[in-house]
Amino acid sequence: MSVGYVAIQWNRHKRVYDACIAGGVVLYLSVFMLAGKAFYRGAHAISDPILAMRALATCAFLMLHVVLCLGPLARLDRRFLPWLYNRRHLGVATFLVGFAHAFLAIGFYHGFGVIPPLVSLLSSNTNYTSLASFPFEILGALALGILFLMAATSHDFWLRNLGARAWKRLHMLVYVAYGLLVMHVALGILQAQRSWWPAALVGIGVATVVGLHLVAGMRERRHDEAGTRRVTPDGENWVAVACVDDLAEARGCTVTVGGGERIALFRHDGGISATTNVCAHQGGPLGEGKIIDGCVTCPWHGWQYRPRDGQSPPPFTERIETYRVRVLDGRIEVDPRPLPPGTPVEPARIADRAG
Amino acid sequence: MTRAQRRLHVHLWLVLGPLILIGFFAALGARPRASLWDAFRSDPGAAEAGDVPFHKPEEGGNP
Repeated sequence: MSVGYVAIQWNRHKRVYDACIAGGVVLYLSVFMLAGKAFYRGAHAISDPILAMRALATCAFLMLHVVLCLGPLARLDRRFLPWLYNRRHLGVATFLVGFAHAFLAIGFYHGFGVIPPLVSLLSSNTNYTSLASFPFEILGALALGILFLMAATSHDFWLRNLGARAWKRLHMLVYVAYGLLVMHVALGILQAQRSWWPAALVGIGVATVVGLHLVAGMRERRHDEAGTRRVTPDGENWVAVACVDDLAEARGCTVTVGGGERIALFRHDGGISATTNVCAHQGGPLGEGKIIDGCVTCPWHGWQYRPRDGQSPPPFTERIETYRVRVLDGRIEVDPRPLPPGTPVEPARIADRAG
Repeated sequence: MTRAQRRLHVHLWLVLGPLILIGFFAALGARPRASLWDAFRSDPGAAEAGDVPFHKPEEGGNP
């Protein structure tokens, strides 16, 4: 069984996004080069190749920080969602800028000897036991290898081929790459610097990335713990999760049941439907999406599912779990036991408030 | 994300975050007291005497 390749479905948003990335990179590199030439003159002048190397390195490092911060920022504030939409494009651009830095650095420092550049890179410094003279280039090369793996598998073709779970785990290697790059910078560049501000900037960047992930995680944990549970006299588990008035027409909301799993509720056509909150694409929060053309639409990448049965509209074949739902006295109650993906469930009619 | 994925993310950052910070500060703490290149620039003659390497540290070690 094979997976068909579908070319990137370009739209205006993607083109604008990519134009912003390309423009930002060119602007950053230009400003860095010009500022470097303006500030370092005479005996302190830096040669063009080294300046370009530093410009590319700092640009890629900054872009990686943005990539890593977008996830928690979008969870903390919905206004960052548009930037999350095509984060993979930013990730691929980060790899390309990092690759340009590596290409230049290896060529400049290892390309003029009799030994092949890559062999020279791996063998010229083997002082792995000393922190002060550690071969920091290896750390950068390892990180670049991980970024290459991620860039090469960033297309939806690989997402479908590997499966969402394996693909997500593979792409969580970006955290390892980030750790390697921080050490690459700290061991290699900062040790040669006399001024304190480069180290301070890197420290602030690391603290921001780590802090944002922890704050977003803690906030979601509090959200999960806020779920309520009630057992009705008929012995079935129904969880009162929201009021009808909490939901606007064609909008969704996310609720948490006792076990911690999130359920997305949607109000549409005078009824309430409940599905899993996890999009089959990349695990996006469906409850933060809305109903477009009669379908639940993921806020991350626009994947759609019919709220009545959790199936994507033809010709798509994705399915998500659905939940039984009812409305009692204006309260929305769900059965927290998920039904198999694609199971049809009749929406609870809002008019049936009397139960 | 599923609940398991959210928990994995939090636990990963609880472990990885301090590790990265500790590594970062340890690397900074291991900085040499004075740059070899600074020593060379202040006293180029010392390089010829073999006291400091002739090439800049940032030029790598391709033999």
